[in-house]
Order: sequence, then structure tokens, then C-alpha cells
Amino acid sequence: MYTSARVFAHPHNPGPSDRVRMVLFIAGEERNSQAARANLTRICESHLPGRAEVEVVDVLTNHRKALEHRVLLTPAVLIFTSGTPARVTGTLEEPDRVLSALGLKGTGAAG
Amino acid sequence: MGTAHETRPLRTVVTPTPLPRIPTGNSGLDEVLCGGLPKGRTTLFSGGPGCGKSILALEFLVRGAEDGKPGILVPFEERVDAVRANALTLGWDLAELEREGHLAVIDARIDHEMLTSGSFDLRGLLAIIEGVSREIGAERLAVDAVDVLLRFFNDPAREREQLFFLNDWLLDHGLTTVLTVKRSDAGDGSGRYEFLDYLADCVIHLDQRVTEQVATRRLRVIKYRGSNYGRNEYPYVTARGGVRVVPISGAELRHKPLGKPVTSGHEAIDEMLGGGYPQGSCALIAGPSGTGKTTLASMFIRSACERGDRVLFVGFEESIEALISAMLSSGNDLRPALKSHALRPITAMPEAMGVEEHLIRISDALDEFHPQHVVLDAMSAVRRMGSDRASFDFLVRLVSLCRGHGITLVLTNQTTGSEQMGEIAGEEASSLVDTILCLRYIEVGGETNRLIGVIKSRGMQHSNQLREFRITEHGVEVSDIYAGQGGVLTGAARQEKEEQDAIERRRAAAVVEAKRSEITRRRAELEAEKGRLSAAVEQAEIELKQLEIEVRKTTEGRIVRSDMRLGKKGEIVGSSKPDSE
Repeated sequence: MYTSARVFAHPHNPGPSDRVRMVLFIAGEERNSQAARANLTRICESHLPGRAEVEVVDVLTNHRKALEHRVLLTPAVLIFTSGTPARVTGTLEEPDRVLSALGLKGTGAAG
Repeated sequence: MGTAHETRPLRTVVTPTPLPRIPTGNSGLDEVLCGGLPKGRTTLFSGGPGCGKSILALEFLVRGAEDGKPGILVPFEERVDAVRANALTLGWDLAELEREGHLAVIDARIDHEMLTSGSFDLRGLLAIIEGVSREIGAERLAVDAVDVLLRFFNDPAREREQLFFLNDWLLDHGLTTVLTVKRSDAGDGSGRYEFLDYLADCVIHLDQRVTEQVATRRLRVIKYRGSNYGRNEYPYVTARGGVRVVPISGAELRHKPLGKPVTSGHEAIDEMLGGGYPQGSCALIAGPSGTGKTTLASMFIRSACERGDRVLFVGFEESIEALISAMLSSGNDLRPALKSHALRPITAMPEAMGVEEHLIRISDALDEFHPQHVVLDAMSAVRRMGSDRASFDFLVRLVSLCRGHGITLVLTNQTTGSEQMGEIAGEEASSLVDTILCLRYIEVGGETNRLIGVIKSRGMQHSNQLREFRITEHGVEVSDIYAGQGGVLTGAARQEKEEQDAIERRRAAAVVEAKRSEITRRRAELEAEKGRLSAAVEQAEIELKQLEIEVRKTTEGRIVRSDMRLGKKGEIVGSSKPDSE
């Protein structure tokens, strides 16, 4: 259900050459944050080679940025395509969820 | 708020090592909590929707901020601008407090469209709180609707784990925290957050019930680790100025002995009561409509105000203007009392608000006005606040409130008039009141008159006599009634009967008097007869003597003559010397 909502909210899916801006919020070096970082790197390498622009924000040192984007649960990635940024919270174990948020996999296994 | 509350400490038991307390700034709640929330610990406010837990949590921050103790609000459900607007309706300018750096409101609405993948935790929130806390030097934290946040973990075990995590973090950071959580009594998932009760050091349940269309709100402290607290249910309201808690039972704990009798405003009634209404006691004036309950109460008000006492009048039946003009006809001019501010009226329709609101209005007036006496007209109207139960609650709390302050409370209660004297106050109310004055009608000889009697006057030597009670334009007159054969008589019938009796009495007295004079007369007659008879006897005796003398002379003459004839002198000669010389 989240998937379809996401697709409606973002009709302009990134084209093959568009750059994708993402902000990954982590909380220091704890386990979930490390996992999210690794998983996101993997996703970008396999699905968005050379197109991903990932900013990593550590909420422990930059709470203002977390506040600005209301990042209460970490880790979380914010994907800026158009309109409201899409958000995926967690260690990003399932690449499909991130891809559906990116609009790259509209009928993925998310939900 | 609060000077009056400072003089009413609730603490009665000193626990060995109580946690240091942080006043919430809500005087009623602080009293229930014996000082405030546990410092540096977590307190849980739980309750259903609309029970006021969010307001109470916010008030904790606002009072702190006003007192220079910065705080952070984390609302999970409401937009920050909505929170500010709602607070303004309660009289709190959050924006101003934020500008001063005493308050921070964190926009913590959760993005409901977010996807989740893998595990996550609250570190983002905690980092934000910690960062903001550093910025403003926060000491207090309120997290509104923590259940909204927990729901995203979608697994009871993970929810629990996160809460323990949160609690540890809070303890480490020394913030005095309030968490609110929605809890419904219906049982739908209410057990889900039960473990919160175990986690928190202090748990307060808020409850809103609607009975007979009147909402009543109650607050109860479920636990307070290692500390004393008020254990009852306390009524509260949410109004401008936040949540108002009435810590009634606090007053009950400090039962004050009754003071000296205060005049009822009428000498004869004081006499019946054994002196008057004792200061700090509760008196009930009961009777059917029009018997003069309000008149009696007004006499009390007037005499108290003339003495310089302050009286709070709580009117549920009529406006103060209507009362004053009604009382003028019975010679009770309350205008000077009102003008000198010795009398303060608060009037309201009973159904205008719930029991709690009414109580809080009265409680506020007590704190502000410090009256020696409270007069409430009429208890019977209180029933219109809701159920019988509600009116009883109201009475219990009002009596306790007044007793705790040493205030004399005079209640009027309209009865149908058909009850027996002893049932007039109602079974339950009877135990609460110290004095019951009862008014009733009596119909004799085609006219209706009023009777007054004292049913009860706790600790006083009171009269058990009924008296006649008349309201005249000069005031109230109390007189003895005719009590004899055929019951009690009042009014014209009494007068008539009294006249008849007087005639009877006079008649009887005349008969006695007549008999008495007859005896005197007879005695005089007797004396006269005695005199006459004894005179007659005397006369007879005189005559007898005369006769005897004559008889003897005759006899002696005969003997002398006989001796002369015989020539010898007889013995009798000596006795007839005069004759012989």
C-alpha cells in the first residue's frame, strides 16, 4: 500500500541519466547505522551507478538537520526526487523498498 | 495560584528516602503528588482521548518555563502551530516562551507515508532532544502520545525494548519527563502499554466518564515509587488556565475540630440549636418550597456580615438581585453586606457545567476571598448537575473543602414535605452535616403555618421542641406552639385555643374561689353559732346557779325554822352566818 502511494506522489520518476540526491541519517557508529550505510552503498552501486549523490548526516553531531527533516527514527534515508522527499526508515535490508521509494520499482515487494 | 494551597500541606506520612520532587506548577496536582513529580525520572499520564493528559503535560512545561526552568515538548500527533494555537486558548503564549528560550517545541509528527526496512530505533529523536536540551538548558521534557511513536515498531517486544531504551536514556540525562499515552478502558489494546506502568516511576491515570449527559473527569495516582501521594480519585477540569485538580481528600485528612457557635441570625433559633451553628460545621436547612429556608440562610448571612465576617453565597436557584429583593420583604436587607464586599455571590445554573467545574469555581472563590462562611442555596438544585451520585459527590467534596478550611457551611435543601422529619436530609447527606434545621408546614383550622425544629445539632445541647416560625416584614418570629391534647396548634387556631383555655382556667379558678369563700362563710356561721350556743349555755348555767341558790335559801329557812321550833342549833348554822349576824 505504501508503494502505490509513493508512485502517486512521485509521478516524475528519475530518468536513466538523472542524478538522485539522498540523505542518509545515521546515529554514530551503532549497528543499525552501519548496516544501513552498507546496504545503501550496495543499492546505489547496483541500481544507480554514478548517479547517486548520498549525503550522510550523523544525528548525534547534527541534530538540527534531523530536526529539520523530522528524523526521529534512525537510520533513515531521505530521497529527494521531486516534491516531498520519500523516506525509508531502517537498515534498508530489502533493496526493493528503497527502489520503490526511488520510483525505480513501482510494483516491488514493499508494503 | 497557590497561596491558599501553601497553607494546606497534604503530607501526612514522611517516607524514609523520598525522591526529590519537581513541582508541576499545578497547585492541585502538586498537592495530590505531595509536592510534584519525581525529579529526573519518568512520569506517565495515561488516559482516553480528550481526558486532558496533553494539557496537563503541557502545563508542566509552561509552569516550569514561567519559573525559568526550560522544557521541551515533543508532540507526535499535532502540528507545532496547532499546539501553539491550542495553548493560547488556555492562556499560554508558547511562542513568547520559545523566544525567551524557556521552551522548545519539536516538530515530531511522524511521516505516515514512510517505508520501513529492517530495524531502527529512537536514536534520531533522542539526538534531537539532547541537542535542543543543550541549546536551552532543558530540565523538563514532555512527550505527547508516546504510543504514536511506538506503533511504528509494530511489535510488542520491540516497543518494549525501545521504551526501556528511552527510559534509560532519560535517566542518564536527568530530565524530569512526562510521557502521555492513550489508553482506553474498552480493553482494545489498552493492555498493550501496560508495561509503561512498570517502567515509569510515577503513573497518573486520567479518566473521563459521561453519566447522565454530564462529563466527569477523575485523576488518580496509580503509583509513585518510594513516595507518599494522595490515593483517592480526584475530580478535575480543563479550563482556561489549564487543568484544575480538586484535592478534596487532602482536606478530609485534616479534619478540624468544630469552633465556637456562630449565631444563626435569630436568638430563638440559636437557643433551639444550643447556641448556633458551630464554626467550621455544616448545617442543613431543609423544608418544602416556601417554608423560609432561604430566609433563614439570609438571616445568617446578614448577621455574619454585620459582624464583619465574609460570606460566600453560592446560588443555584436565582440571581443575587432576585435573592436580595425577595429577602427585603422579610426584613433581611442584604444590600449593605453586598456593598461592603462582606458578601460575595456566585450564581450559576446547575446544568451549566459539571460537578467539577462547579466545585472548582467554589474552590477558587475560597482561595481568593477567604470567607468564614459559605451558604449554598439549594442542594436540591445540585441534583440537576447530573445524577444523584453526582450531587452526592458534590456535597461530599464541598463539605470536605469547607471543613478543611474551617469554614461554616450552610446548605438549604428543598424537600417535598411529605417525608418524616428525620428523612429530610437524605440518608447519605445526614452523616455529613452537623446540624439539621427542619422547616415544615402544618395545616390547622383552615390556615397554613410554619414549624421549625432541630433534628440534629452535633455536639450541642439542642431543643427537641417544635416551634412556630413566622416570616413578617420585620423579620422572623419564633414562638412556642400549643402542644396539648389533639397535637400541635399554630396560628389563629392556636390563639383561639389559647383563649378558650384561658376562659376555662378562669372559670375553674372562680369555682375554687367560690368554694373557698363558702367555707369561710360557713366557718364564720359556725363561729357565730358556737358563740350563740355558748352564750346560751352560759345563760343556762347562770340561771342554774340562781335556781340552786334559791333552792338552798329555801331549804335553810325551813331548817332554821324547824330548829327554832325544836330549840337546838344545827350544823348548818355556820354556813348561814350572814343570816345569824
